[in-house]
Amino acid sequence: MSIILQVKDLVTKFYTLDGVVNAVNGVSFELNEGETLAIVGESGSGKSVTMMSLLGLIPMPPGKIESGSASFNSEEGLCDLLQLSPEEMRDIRGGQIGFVFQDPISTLNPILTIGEQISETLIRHKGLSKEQAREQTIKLLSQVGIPDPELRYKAYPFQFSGGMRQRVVIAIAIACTPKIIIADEPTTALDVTVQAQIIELFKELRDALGVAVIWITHDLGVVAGIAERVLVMYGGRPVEIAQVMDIYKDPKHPYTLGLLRALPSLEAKESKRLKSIKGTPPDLLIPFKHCPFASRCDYAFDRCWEEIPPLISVGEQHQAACFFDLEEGGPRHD
Amino acid sequence: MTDVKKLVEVINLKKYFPIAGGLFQRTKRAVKAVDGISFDIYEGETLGMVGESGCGKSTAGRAILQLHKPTSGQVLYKGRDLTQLSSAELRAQRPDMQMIFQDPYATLNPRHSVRKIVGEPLVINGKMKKGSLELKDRVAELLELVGMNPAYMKRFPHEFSGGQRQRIGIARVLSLNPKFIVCDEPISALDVSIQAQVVNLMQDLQEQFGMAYLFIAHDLSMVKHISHRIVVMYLGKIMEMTDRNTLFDDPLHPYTQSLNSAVPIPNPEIEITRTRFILEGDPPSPANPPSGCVFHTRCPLVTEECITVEPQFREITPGHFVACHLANTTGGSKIFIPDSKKEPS
Amino acid sequence: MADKDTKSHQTIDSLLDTEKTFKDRLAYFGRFLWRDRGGVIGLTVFLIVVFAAVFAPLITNQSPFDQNLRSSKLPPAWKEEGTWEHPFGTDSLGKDVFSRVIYGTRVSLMVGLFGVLIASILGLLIGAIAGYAGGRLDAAIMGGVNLILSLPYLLFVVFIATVLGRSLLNVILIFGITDAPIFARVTRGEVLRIRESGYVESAISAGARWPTIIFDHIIPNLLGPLITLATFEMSAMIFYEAGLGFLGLSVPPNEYPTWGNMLAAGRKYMTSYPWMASFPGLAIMFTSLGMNLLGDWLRDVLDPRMRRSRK
Repeated sequence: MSIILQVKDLVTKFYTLDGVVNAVNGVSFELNEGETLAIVGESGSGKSVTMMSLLGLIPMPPGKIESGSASFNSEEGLCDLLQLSPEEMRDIRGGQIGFVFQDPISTLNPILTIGEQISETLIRHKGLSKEQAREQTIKLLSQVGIPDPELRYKAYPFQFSGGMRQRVVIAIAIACTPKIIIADEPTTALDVTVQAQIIELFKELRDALGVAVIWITHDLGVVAGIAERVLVMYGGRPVEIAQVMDIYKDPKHPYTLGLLRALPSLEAKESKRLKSIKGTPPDLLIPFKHCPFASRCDYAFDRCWEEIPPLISVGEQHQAACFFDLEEGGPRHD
Repeated sequence: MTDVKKLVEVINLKKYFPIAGGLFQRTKRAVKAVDGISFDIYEGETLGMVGESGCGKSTAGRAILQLHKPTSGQVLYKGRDLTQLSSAELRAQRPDMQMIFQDPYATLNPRHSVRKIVGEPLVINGKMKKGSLELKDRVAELLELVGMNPAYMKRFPHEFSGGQRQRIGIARVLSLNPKFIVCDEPISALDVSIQAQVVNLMQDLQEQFGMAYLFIAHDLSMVKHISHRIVVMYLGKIMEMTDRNTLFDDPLHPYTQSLNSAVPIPNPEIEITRTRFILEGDPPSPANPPSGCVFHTRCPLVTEECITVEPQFREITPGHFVACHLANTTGGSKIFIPDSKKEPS
Repeated sequence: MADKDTKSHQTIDSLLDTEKTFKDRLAYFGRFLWRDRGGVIGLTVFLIVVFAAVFAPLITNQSPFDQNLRSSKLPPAWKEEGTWEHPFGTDSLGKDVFSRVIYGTRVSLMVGLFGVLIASILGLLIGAIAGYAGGRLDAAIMGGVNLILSLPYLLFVVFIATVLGRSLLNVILIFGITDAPIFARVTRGEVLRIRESGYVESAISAGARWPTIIFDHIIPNLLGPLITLATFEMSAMIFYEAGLGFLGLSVPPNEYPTWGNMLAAGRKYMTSYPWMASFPGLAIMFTSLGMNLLGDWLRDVLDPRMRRSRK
């Protein structure tokens, strides 16, 4: 497997009236070709800001990418996404990197027809003629499961339901046969039955096109069904990264463990009390000098308050940023 | 449940919203947001209500509390029909029935302090005097009850996180010692780690004070966790109603079965191997609901009868109500044949 | 060391408990002002104008009415023939331009302040009734409001001014009445929005009657947008008053100096003695700009959601 995207030490801050918001504080990960990586975290964990940084969508000011690199193995060779000019970024975004956001309304232009919007992408990035683009668009629409694609070509976004709009956005994302699709909470705004449809569609397309997917979500249920690897974020930092099975069966970070325990189970016959994580998410205005999770952690000890735990290897393809060994039940020995 | 008393009886409740049309705003059509629902809520129980967006579950909650005036039907609270009360009588009844809202950002007045927000119901109902020491003590007590520091009293809603705001909202509701609380998606705007805190708090309070909840949500697993019985709604009607375990182990309505099947389970082993039945299409618009059974346009088992005749909401086994022509005790309405879960019937 | 330790243990919860130090507050305030430079400038301008109006006799010892034909048409002080006795020079009748500009703030502010006061009270009442009552009454009221708003404003004002005659009270009344529909429309929209808000629903479910809803929930949340609108409208009224003055329909020049009158009087001398019209013109521009900046700033400041929020 070859690495298609390697992000190193990404730091993104927002300079606001209230002070400096430390949104992303050193995120590193890699994405292999054709792989699905889920980035899991709650609001304020920095998961979305990480992706916006990669796609060049951070509003500057107040945002600023302070440091880091993101080398993308593009068709033209390696390039650092963070160093691209806005024009170069526009060519990659929607071309070699497709994206799907939570709210399809904001992605689609309300005054253009669905067909025009997909064709436009094809003409811009692939240099197709109008006629070719139209043909290709109809093919794409049927590929994402929109019935009567020829009729729907002329429809406007408002004539579509939420699920159908998300399908159109997905069609745009895959239009230029991207190498990566970044999906930020793509099913959060949808109903359960429609969410199941969209997830199924994603899986089919991923397998058919062999595209790598970064799936950002807060929903651990969705992750279990779609991801191969999972990156858990907290307070703008990655706290654990592992194969999907290991995350659920053998979490090494107390936060991951806490999240899993806080979920109710559909199978349980007796309703046991949920194990909640105490406290509230961290204030990103205060730069951390210790583990960001320490104040909410049941296992925190002196060292957790003295330094920031680095991401260390805790198993095969399994890294966690914690000084405590959950298996041993005591501090980890270096 | 013979020894438990009925607290609320909802009888054929309907709420239609007129769609203004034409130049002179004459009513032409109506959105049938809630279209004839009936169920009981017992003292101290939690009745879950699930459904997708637009199924009318929030409207149902508001119509029960008379925040939306029902189009027809009855809501009996301790045997008294709320729909027939004068506005003064209704106001006198309100303290008993409260509501926890979905959006903790919108439901707290941004210009009021926590002290004013939590104490307002007591002042409105003339239980305590504005600015009195007694009121201040009670507010402090309520804040402690929901796990918040009473020192926050002087602060304003925008200074709190979503979970804390929901706690403030709950403290406000508790001030009147309600017997019945409609919870309209109380946790769906909150983060996962905070959801569990709020759900635990709600369960603790129920244990302590014995109020009944109508818990409205779209998250099936959380509804199952907190509810004793569950109502499944689709396009303004009840599809199925039974106790929590039966709903998941032996769902009779094809819609309930597909809902169960669509819920993602946070366990990759199950997720990868499980057979799913995925419904096609989106729910139809409540402004223009299908004929016969409202679910027939998406139902895999649809028959001629379903298209023309509306199914009755009937009791198949004791306490298990279903609105489906095919439902019977031998699995006539099952999408998957039991024990051979691979093939759709 | 121990102190440092406890500080690092703070979570968001405990941070809410610690009172901010004076230095923290000062730093926040500093950032706040720096971010809203425009607003600070606007506020300063507004305060200068108010100061000038209130303390006019202390600022200048020249009377704005004294004519002196011997010292007429004097240029500003920094010109060769100018004197510091008349810093902005004198007009064709020898009246001191500086003191007239200073005393002119009084009319402008009075018209703006009382005009807006009348307009906002009328508009608040009309708009609140329309918004709260709804239905046919709402439709009828808003029909009337839209009719008035569709009239060509300046023409309308000129017409009334001609009929009623020239006096300060008339000018204030004209602006107060003709501007009320704008306040009514904004109030109605806000009332409709607030009436549907979660906190009003929550108050109703707690058993609140309509006085509680109107006075505790609707009006406090209405004030922010209305104060902002009032600032903009005040600026517009000052502007229009000058226009009326220029047309000779405002306060008579022998009653009180106004910027509009000065403009009108200075117009014929524009090429040879430009200061007579330029200084009142600049005063109008300065005030108007300041008020608009202030309005923009108030819009943000008065919205509690714009203040520090925690996600």
